[in-house]
Amino acid sequence: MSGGSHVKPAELYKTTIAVWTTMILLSSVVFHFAVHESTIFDAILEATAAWTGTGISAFDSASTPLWLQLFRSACNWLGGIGIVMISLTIIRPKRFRGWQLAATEFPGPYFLKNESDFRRYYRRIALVYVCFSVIQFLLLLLVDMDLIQAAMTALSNSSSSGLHHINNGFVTALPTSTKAIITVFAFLSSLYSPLFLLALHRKWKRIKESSELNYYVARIVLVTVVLSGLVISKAPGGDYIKSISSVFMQVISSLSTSGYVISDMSAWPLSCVIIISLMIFTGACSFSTGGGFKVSRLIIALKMIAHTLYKQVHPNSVRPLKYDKKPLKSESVVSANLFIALFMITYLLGALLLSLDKLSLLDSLSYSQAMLTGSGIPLISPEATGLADGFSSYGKVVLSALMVAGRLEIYPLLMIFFESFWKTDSSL
Amino acid sequence: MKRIANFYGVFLNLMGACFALPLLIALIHGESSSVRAFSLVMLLCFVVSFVIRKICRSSIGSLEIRPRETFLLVATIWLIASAIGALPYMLTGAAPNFFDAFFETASGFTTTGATILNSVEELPRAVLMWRSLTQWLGGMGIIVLFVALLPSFGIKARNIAAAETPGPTVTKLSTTFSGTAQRLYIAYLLLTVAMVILLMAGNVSLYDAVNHAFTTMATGGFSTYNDSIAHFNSNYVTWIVTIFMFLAGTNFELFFILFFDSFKKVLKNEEFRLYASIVVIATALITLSLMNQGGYEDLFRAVTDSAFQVLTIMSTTGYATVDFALWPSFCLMIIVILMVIGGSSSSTAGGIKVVRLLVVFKIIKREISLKLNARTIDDIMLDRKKLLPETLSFIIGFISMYTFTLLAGTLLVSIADPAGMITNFTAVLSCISNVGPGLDSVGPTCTFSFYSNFSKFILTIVMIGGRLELYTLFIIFTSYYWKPGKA
Repeated sequence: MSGGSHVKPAELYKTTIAVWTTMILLSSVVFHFAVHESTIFDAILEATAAWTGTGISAFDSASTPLWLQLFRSACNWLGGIGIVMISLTIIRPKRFRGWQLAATEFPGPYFLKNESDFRRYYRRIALVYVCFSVIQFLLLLLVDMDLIQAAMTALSNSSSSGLHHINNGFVTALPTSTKAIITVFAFLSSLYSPLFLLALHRKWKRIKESSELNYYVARIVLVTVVLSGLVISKAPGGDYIKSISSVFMQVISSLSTSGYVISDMSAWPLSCVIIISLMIFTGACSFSTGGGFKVSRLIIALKMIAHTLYKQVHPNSVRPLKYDKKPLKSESVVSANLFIALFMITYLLGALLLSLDKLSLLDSLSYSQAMLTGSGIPLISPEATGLADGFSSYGKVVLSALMVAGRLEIYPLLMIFFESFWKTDSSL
Repeated sequence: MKRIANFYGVFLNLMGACFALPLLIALIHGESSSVRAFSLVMLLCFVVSFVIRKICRSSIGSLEIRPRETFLLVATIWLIASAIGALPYMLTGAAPNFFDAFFETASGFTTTGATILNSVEELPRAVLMWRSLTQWLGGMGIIVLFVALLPSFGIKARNIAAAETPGPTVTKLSTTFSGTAQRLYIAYLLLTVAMVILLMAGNVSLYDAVNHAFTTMATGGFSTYNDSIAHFNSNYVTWIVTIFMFLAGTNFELFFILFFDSFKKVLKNEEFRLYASIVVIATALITLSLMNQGGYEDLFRAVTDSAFQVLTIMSTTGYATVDFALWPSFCLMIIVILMVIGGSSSSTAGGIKVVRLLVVFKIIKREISLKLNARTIDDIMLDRKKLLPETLSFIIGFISMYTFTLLAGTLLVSIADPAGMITNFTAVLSCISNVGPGLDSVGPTCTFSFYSNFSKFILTIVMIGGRLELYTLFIIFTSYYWKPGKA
């Protein structure tokens, strides 16, 4: 570990939890006083959704002041790149020099060359993030989007946060050109960020060999093909190009966990919505602004299953498990699989807690998934509006907890229930 | 090839013998169509078995099955058993086509209890007995029964039986595996007989008592009545079934510890403690919910219904005394979670199994300790025994495989049948965990008959996969299984 080795691991997690809690609470004060007749629970939900980049809201976008919507989009953008990491870059505290703290906010899995590269990587990636946001903003202006709307869209979409400021995330009425720009940048935001650095160095071969990218793209193509087939078979004779493009745009929105509704799905077969909902669990690539349990973990888990089956046939084999042609440590393999198990346990427990808020079974399961993956709007839920107005104060607290759990990848939230977390000397 | 064919030959003999009980019932009740159907299938089994063994000419003792062949053998025996077992349904007209009959039989052998039959009360009694018997045979494992009855297999059969019951704990109850298999079947048989006697003490007829004891001890859940256990309208019967479902979902090795050692040792068993705790907590939560939101006013009624449904789901039996699909969503969420967990290892129940959940919790705890203090790496202990890293990897890998199979199954069924998310998800969940009923359109008062043949086939494969704990079935679909030299 480079630098910061004198800092105890518990302190790192305490720092991340403290920073996130502080930012959410401070922002919720702003939301609470800015929106007339809002409760503190509405404000907490709004602030949590803003920082975690989840496309759900306590306030209708039509009646929310424009400056407040811009504030929310700015929170989306900052949350996407990591509050702790921004603080580290700006404040530069001497105690936290390594990448350990970053790992508490962006838990990985990572496939960087070495750990000391992290800070350099982070600065460059942050620069790419800024550039993408600016380019998206300019392109949206070119297609005649309003200046403030373009800014909000660029900020929220770069961080895979949904587009709550446009009709609570239901953006089906936007012009096709605008939809196309949004789709391209939602896709880019959901990719493994270090790939952009490779692109800057023109290392195309390494990009082409990236297992995560290949799998992610293949998944998008496959889902688009299957869904297009189902949509076209239900209504043959229509405009096929239009059907395929609308399916593709919604697939990108959902698989990147941006979560906005960009296509009119009312005429789609129910199977399509079920398939999309199931695919959201995996979500986007690691070290991206997207949520879910991440494509890289899925690949590792699938490789582990294949490896275990192989070992049944060849019990004495010592063939290592590889990822991007490099052998994987057994701890990394167990860790990736364990996270998937933990993710599914949290999902079921979240749904159990939500069901106490008198939600139907379908709503409990779908909202738990939408909050945990950060997608926001549960597509499968027939009455979902992008607003959390049907929830009680208790329900809003559960939604907020699930959003934070999803964004920080569960462990930091789980740690606070461990005695050893509180026992460690704190000298921050 | 000869070795495997010979095994099939011996197996078909055993299978043919199993038709004797329903044939006897058919003769007693004068069901001519059933007599014809069961005689024909029985004869077919014996003739094919005779021909195979004649061609292969090998004695039972020389059946040396290679480790790699065991997977193919076990997976195909389950498929063959389901296909042959489907014949009586077709010959008696109980099932309209092969897919339905295959589904019903696989549901029986895998102890799932999902049905495509809309009214079981209209079926001949012999067919109903066969339906219950498939569950009893599948409960402890078809091949385990095989090994118990034919001890000459001895040590060579251990691998085969392990592929059929690949749970995380395999304890030797005897010096040979056939001895272990015999002891397990003796416990299974004694509990079944005890249940028959206790049910008959509650004014249940011998026929019904045998049928329900078969399906309870196997955690199968098939009933001879459309309204399942609710038909008896008796608290006594309900509680007897509840208690036996609890026992059937318990690790069978604990019965031997209880008999030959002490009750204290049973209580110290970590898996049993978690299993019992989950049952108590889930029952208490559902009772509270029913009293608050479910419209129940009688506490005893609420406790009875809660305990019954918790155990019928957790032990993956799948009976019904009430239509729990109408309960508050909090109760339904608990039911979904129990469907995933399932019963204990080395029991007749399905699901992920309590011991795996326990190990996952222990690994999560260790992972957090590791994150909080990078220098500490604790061993994972289960009942004071250290678990090897390979065992941990295997358990974690199983959870991932279970999750992906569940999601992929839901996806495939949804492509063919857009019946709704809850229906399709719980149908696949119910099949992979071998529970029986799901929720919504596959709830406790509904059947799986509306599904297309494609979905029924997928659900059948998922059922068999779930019963064989996924690896044994899926390994035969890999390329390196068929090309062992391929690295």
